[in-house]
Amino acid sequence: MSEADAAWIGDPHALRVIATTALLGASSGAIGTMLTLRSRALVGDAVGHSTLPGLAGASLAGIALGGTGRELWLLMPGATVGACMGIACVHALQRVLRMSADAAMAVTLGTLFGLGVALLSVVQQAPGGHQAGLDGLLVGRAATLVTSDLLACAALAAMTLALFAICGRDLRALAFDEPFARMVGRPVPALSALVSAVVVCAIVAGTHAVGLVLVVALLVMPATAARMLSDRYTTVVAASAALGALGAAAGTVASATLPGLATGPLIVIACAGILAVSVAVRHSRGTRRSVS
Amino acid sequence: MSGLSAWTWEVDGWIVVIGALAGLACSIPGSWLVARREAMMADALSHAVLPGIAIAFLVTGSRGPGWMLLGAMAAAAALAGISTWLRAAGRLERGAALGVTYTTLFAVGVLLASGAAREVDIDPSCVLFGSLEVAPLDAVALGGLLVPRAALLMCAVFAANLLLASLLWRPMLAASFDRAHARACGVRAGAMDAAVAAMAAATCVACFESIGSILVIAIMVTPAAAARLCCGSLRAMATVAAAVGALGALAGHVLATTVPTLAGLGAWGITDASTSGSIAAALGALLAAVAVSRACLRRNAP
Repeated sequence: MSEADAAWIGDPHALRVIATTALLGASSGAIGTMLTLRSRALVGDAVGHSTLPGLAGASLAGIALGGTGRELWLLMPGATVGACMGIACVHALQRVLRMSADAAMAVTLGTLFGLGVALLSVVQQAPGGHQAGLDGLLVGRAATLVTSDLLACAALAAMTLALFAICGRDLRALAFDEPFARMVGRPVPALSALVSAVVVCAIVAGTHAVGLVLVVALLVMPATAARMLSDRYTTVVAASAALGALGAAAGTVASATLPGLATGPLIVIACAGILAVSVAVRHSRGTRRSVS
Repeated sequence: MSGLSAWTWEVDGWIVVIGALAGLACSIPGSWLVARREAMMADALSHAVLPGIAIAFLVTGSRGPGWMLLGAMAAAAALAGISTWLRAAGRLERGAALGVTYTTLFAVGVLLASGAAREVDIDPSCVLFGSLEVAPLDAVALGGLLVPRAALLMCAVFAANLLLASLLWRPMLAASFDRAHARACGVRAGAMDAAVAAMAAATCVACFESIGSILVIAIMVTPAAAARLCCGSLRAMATVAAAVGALGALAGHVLATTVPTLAGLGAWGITDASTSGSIAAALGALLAAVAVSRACLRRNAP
């Protein structure tokens, strides 16, 4: 047992998995600041759950086309469609029906996840569908991440970096004072859409690694922890990316050394540990300013 | 074959009745949560109870409902306690505090359940998805009629919610919508917040064993949100929410048993979809219908 456990150091597969989750953690951490600073922390939860109908629908389409229903080239676009549906639904409920953010998220989550459960029950009865491998959806399958996943997460990280490098100032205005950003003529709807697009990509990548229930943790925890440590916007974004990468890598290493424990939950627990330390640090500084 | 002609009172009838009773039981806490802008609490609760259930099983070694309920309530209390503390100590906004707390609890629960699963299966996906379809099978004889245990449980939850809400209606209103007024009247606002949270938590925990936690989230929030579109007062909201929930239970089960055949999946021998999932989706459709009819009424109004 010990030999097998120790073998992960230097193992290219393990290093690849660690690099993938770290890149994912960094991207989610950075873009997560845009959600927490705008008090929309749980939107990632609603959107994460909304990937289920997309995944189940794609799987059903795969089986109907004569495949196994496990083809990634079908599942990933399916998850993306589901996530876009979720984010559009939250927006529509808030804008058109004037629902409060929490009700819009909860209604979207309940309806789309329910639709996904119904579709999934059909997929599981379909010929060959009971082994469609969708059981990893809830807590992810980090151990099965391959080179293409690493490339996808690297692309996500590059996209996030580009967004912050090019639109950093506009994003700051959007995060702290949306009416001001609107007033001085910044393209607020386009910026919001860009942020939503990166959030959707991070969530789709995240469902694969940590599962659709826990993906919200990667968006919220590093950003919240970073906010505890600094009051400067750029520092918060950079620290959030660093803490996200640290938490994801630590969780992955822990799951490689502790056999039988799923990676997704361990990543979340590692991030929770980082958050606990940050809260303690902020407390010890005796800061009285409000965090929002 | 399938479809409505294959419905039997003993199974399908009870499924609809249990679903409708769940809608009734969830309408009161659901309306409070939506009106207080705490709707995501239902989702957080249904994920956060997992470690409590897993620990209760690991400690007692039994799968009896009593210990499970106790463990789940303890986990729900932990969720409320930790997230309230984080809001105060870390000065987090409500969503972030809830989000970090319940994902941590759920992660711990998944690890504990996968550890426990080596001996007996507590499948996280089973806890999450639940199944309304098998609820009618667990029945007790009551005056010559076989009544499912889940139906009795829903009635008891509804009665308890009605009692709590009617006893504390005014103080809960004051604490929810006007803290200054509540303080002036000597209402303990913190205690009232806890009462609403406890009502929601107890309802979630009692319901999710029989109808599955995804349906609990949907049936607690969606009907109340639909009712909020057309009602001003909380009492009217709860009443309309109960009606929407019951209608959704019927519509959802009809859809679950007819749509797969209509969609041509009969060729694969698929006649039913998950009833819990279908009811949740049907509730969303009902909300859309309420929104559309409200818009039409407004346009036609003089």
